[in-house]
Amino acid sequence: MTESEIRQIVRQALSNVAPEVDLGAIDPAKDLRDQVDIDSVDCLNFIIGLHKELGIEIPDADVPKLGTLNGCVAYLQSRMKGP
Amino acid sequence: MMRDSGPASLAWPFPPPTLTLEPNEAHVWLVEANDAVVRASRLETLLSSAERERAAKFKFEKDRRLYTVTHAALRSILAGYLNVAPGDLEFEIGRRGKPRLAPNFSKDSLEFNLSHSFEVALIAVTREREIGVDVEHIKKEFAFAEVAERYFTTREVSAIRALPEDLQRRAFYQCWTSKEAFLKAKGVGLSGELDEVEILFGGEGGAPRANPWHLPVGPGGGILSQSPGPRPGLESKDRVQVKNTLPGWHLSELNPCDGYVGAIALEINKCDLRCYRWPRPAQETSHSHP
Repeated sequence: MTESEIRQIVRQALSNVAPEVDLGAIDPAKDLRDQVDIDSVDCLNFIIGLHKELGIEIPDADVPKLGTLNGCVAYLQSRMKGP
Repeated sequence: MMRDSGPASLAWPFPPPTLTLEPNEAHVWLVEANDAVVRASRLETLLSSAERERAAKFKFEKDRRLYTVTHAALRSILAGYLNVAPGDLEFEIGRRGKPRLAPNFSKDSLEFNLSHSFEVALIAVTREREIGVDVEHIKKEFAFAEVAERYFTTREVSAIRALPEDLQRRAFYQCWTSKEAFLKAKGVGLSGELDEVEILFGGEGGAPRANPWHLPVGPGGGILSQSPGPRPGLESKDRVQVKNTLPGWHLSELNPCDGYVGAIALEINKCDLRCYRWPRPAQETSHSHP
């Protein structure tokens, strides 16, 4: 799966939990929670959405790595390449 | 006690003119980021330059408004206890990333925690002990069952499933906010062990009931049992009585307003919990509690 495809899945998962968000206005390098109001349940649902689409189990300890769109993509890419 | 003009079943009272916070007390403040609050308050004047910069970073007006109202309220409320100007307060990041007052404001041992969701925030304040609060907007379209199966214990999932269908969604949020409040009090957030506190619904035997009260079970098997007495925001009193048998911790459900569920956790055996609404009309920016 290409980086572009992973990025699209991340954007779709974010859109599913925060449908009011204009994804085009999000800076992928900045903390998501500095740009949109995502509560803790949204965060859990976002992680589950990524898991369903990519089949990757995301441990609670790795949640801080998902703070930005770019961080999500990088983390998921590394997990897909990993053991 | 005098209440505002909203529906009696949903209203939290404004604070009394003189407000003190005893060591065995916790105060929870309900803040609604609605148009009336924004219009009536000079909110931006309460924020630090760093907070104003962060508010400006939000892409969407509703998020900017919630952040601004919530942090203005936090400053106003804490300043009232410390008898200082809200703008003079300084914060720092404490253990495990949990925000706290800077050392020059620590002589009163004030501890606080803040949570917001959609258009509502809760700010919890106590002295000399860890405290955590969580509030969640109950989303009607949210597929809660998947989240419960991923993050809740087997017993919690079973208990929620055993409830009548129309109560399951709220029960999910009751369970989640209780866990989150506990984790926030410990300063571990979402990366903490979600099963460290287990929430059961039902009576002493654990059998689910139509009107659930949560009974959080600690790692040692202790049970926090909440008496079926008045709950803040739902009854005509502003106190909640909690029977606590989990050593060292108090955990209580909060009902801030229609469509929201909350919970508070603090490291204390017996807590006197009081709930108030911010701001008091016409005195929103005062640094003494109205």
